[in-house]
Amino acid sequence: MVRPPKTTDTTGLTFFFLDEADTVEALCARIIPGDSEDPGAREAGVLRYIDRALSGAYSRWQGAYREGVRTLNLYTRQRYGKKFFELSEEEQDTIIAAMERDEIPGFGDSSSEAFFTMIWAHTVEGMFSDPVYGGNRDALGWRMVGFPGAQYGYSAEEMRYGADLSAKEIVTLAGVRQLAREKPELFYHRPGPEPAAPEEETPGVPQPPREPGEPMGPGQ
Amino acid sequence: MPNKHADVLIVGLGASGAILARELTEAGFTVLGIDKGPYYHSDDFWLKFDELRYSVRAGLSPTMDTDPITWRPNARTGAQICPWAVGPLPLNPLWLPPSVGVGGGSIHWACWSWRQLREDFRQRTEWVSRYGEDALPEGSHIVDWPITYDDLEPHYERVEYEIGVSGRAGNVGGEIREGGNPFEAPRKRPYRFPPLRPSAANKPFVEATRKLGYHPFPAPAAILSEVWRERKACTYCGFCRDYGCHVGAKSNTLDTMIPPALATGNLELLTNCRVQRVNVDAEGLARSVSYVDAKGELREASGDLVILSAYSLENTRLMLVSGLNKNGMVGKRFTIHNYGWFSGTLPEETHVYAGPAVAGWAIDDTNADFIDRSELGFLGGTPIMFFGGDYQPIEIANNLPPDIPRWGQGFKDWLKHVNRHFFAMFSQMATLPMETNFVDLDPKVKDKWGQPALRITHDWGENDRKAGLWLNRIKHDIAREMGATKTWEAPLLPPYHITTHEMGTHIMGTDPGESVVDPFCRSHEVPNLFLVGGGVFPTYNGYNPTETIQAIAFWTAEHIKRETENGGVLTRFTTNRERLIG
Repeated sequence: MVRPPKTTDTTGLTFFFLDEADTVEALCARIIPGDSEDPGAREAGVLRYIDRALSGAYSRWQGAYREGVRTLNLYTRQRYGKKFFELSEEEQDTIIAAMERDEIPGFGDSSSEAFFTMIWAHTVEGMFSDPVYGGNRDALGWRMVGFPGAQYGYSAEEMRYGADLSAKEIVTLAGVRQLAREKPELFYHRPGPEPAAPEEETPGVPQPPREPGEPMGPGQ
Repeated sequence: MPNKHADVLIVGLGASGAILARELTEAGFTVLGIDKGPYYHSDDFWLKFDELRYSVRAGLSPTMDTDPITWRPNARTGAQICPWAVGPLPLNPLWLPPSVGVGGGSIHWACWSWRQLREDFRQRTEWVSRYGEDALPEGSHIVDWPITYDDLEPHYERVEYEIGVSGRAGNVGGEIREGGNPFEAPRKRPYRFPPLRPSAANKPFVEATRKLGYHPFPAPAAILSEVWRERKACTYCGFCRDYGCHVGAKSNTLDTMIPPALATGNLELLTNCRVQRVNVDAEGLARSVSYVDAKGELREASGDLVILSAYSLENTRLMLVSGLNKNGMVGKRFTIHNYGWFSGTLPEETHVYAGPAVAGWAIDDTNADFIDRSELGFLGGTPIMFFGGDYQPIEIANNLPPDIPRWGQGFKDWLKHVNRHFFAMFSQMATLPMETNFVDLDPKVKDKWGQPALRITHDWGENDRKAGLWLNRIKHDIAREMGATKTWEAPLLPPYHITTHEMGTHIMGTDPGESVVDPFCRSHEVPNLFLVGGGVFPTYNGYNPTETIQAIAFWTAEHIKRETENGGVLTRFTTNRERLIG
């Protein structure tokens, strides 16, 4: 069955350009597929996670994404006359299988398999990391797998083999932050003295070396 | 700013360095403690429930960006920066050196806290008497330790009572106690705290191992099962291995050793400071260390005694960079663990995200030579430990069985299933100390400060392969008995060659030609220099090393206190003993 390409939610993106956002999201959505009934990577906003990661912690992989997407779309345009995200899901799956077998040329020092593996790893991260990182929208990823999230702790009954925790309310880091503000007594406070602050030298312009015996300048 | 000076310089305030800091400051020494990482405040870990930050991105660990290490399988091959620790895939903190900062690896650790077996201190004697001299593989250097279990017994007890370990004793004064580890060496006192509450799927593990004739017991855990002073009891949140603790239940040296050391007024901490070398004077004594401070400036600090406790690999790197390797033994006898991961699914929901991993039980029947190795063709042993908690969804997705598709509907269906039914077991076979496994300085790769990287030359061998095959058979038997619906194994010979359990490389011994430090961790070459940590282990065994490392730190501290008084062997290095003794 051929479906029309879905619309990419580009709210808040700071890194990906137009085709890049559509292409990366299409790849994520084939890795963990979904729809409104049973959400997957697209519905959970994994694209926004990857975009935000590339804008910060993962900036070293910016080039790999940019070049990888360009190479992939070049290949699909030559082969199908369309960009990757414009293909049907069945066609996309055929391409992904070829990437996994490392059969798509043009990835230079890298490989189509390495490119796919990188997107795979980041899709999983965006699906299951705390929503504060931009993915896992409304904790959809955690709901999917039955993970209750950033829980302060579990009771003995909850840790019984076979216990049913499906009704347990999911907690995110935002919830822990609130708990810590409201009830800091639930958390650990190390007793005793704090270490001394490091001795500060005069901040600002580095001083030139002095001759022995030369008086110190102002601010020393 | 003038150079700093103290009676004792301690480089690295982790699992062992912080113990020495407390013991020596309380004895009246001034101590300058220098650590590569930060000082964490307790509220730094209140928001630690974050798999991405602390596990996937290894938020507490040193990484190859700042602390490059290279690896090659053998001396004929070119080394590269550890390939399992670079690239866009998750950084598994178990495949990096331990966390840095005050408290060191004792912050992020999973808290398995074992005493070694008597047998672990005398592998050569055990194996030669059981299997004959010919059983020791060619190119191996299997020796007895120069210290015994009895030497360390009181110091093990100090770790368990002063830092805090939960567990069930199996042998108190020679009397075997029901429900503990019947194989452990006799202890004078039971554990300080009762065992933790085990994870959900521990029940079928215990039933299965009992049925198979093994002797399951709660693994000893350096986590509080009860409130102790300001520290709270474990809440079983399940963010434990790779994480700090939000309630102070994990027993680290940052919470247990540093506060009393600071309270003496004798400890000064220099954090975010990277020691670059040990400076030795014309008399052959360590007089100072050079370090780059938090602002990037090169500085020097001097002390009467210098203690390196910055992890086996970093201690060794510092020795080599400082040109201190007269007998050629620095870097030799490198041993590590093969974790032998074994995963599966069970019929019931396992809630594998809840509870610390260490709360799982273990069997020690597979350790040492409790099952005879004559027909098995390998040496060494390990407990098999149940890993039924502390496992979050990103790690589960990355632990994919070979027959499951890694994308598409099949992958999604698998994720839904496995997260609800997952369990794991692991073992820790130690490599034998082989001539071909060692560390030295990389001739090319340098860190950002221009200092040479350490180079690991290591490969797994026939002993590791045969042991892994045997252990997998036992794990399969247990899983079958547990009713597992599916199982899969990590490769017999892992792709990684760092495990946070690097031992040896500056081993202890009585022969100055065959070891780096004496039985009290004092350098044979530089008599006022000590090297503490797992680097002193002459051979390795199946246990997590930290409690032994910490017991040795107490043992070394006691030696330093004793030998700096009343004409002891260290008095010639210390300048202000009058004040201390007076």
